[in-house]
Amino acid sequence: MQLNLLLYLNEENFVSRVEPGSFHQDLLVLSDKAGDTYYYEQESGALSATSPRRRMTISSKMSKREYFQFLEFLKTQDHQEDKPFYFVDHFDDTRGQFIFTSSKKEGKLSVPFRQFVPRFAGNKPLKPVFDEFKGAFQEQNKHLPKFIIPFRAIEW
Amino acid sequence: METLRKIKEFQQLVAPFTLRVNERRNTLEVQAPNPPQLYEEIQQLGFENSDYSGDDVVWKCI
Repeated sequence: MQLNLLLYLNEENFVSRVEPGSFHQDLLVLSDKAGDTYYYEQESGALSATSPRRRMTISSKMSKREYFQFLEFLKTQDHQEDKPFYFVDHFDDTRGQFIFTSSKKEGKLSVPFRQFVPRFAGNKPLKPVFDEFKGAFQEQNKHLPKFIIPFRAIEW
Repeated sequence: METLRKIKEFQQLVAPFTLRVNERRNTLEVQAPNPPQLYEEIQQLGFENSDYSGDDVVWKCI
């Protein structure tokens, strides 16, 4: 059996090493605390654990997947010359920050995303929240993104 | 679940020894005192790419 897995020794190891591209393949997180093991299958998006009751522990850490997807989405909302409205003023992959500009002239918010990765609560799945946020940008919602205050958008 | 089950079996098998993740190679390695029987049992679990280095008794298992 040839395993095409990204391996992590434990949860801490996972948190410190996981990257946006990591979720493009299967992941295996061993755990040296309670002896539980977690397996993330990329194709189905399913997360399995040897102890189901402890699955929430790693679920919150797996929220990084949604966080990375959220960043990818913000990147698509970067300033484009041919569009009158843009949600993100500038998305800088190299420096690891994105910038919102408010309607006030002096209003500029720079958000570093590489130096600081939020710690997500384990009992609050992020996917529905991010999906709702992205839903605001759908064509049928017309001008709704103009009324979203960027600061609220990143407050979760 | 099949993969998870096999990994669990593997963990139980190597439990007495030091298990580590080689981040650069993305491999699981067992540091054990040259136990051929363990090596065979790991292979029996179906891990075809098992390998080992006799010098530092590190067994690359997955």
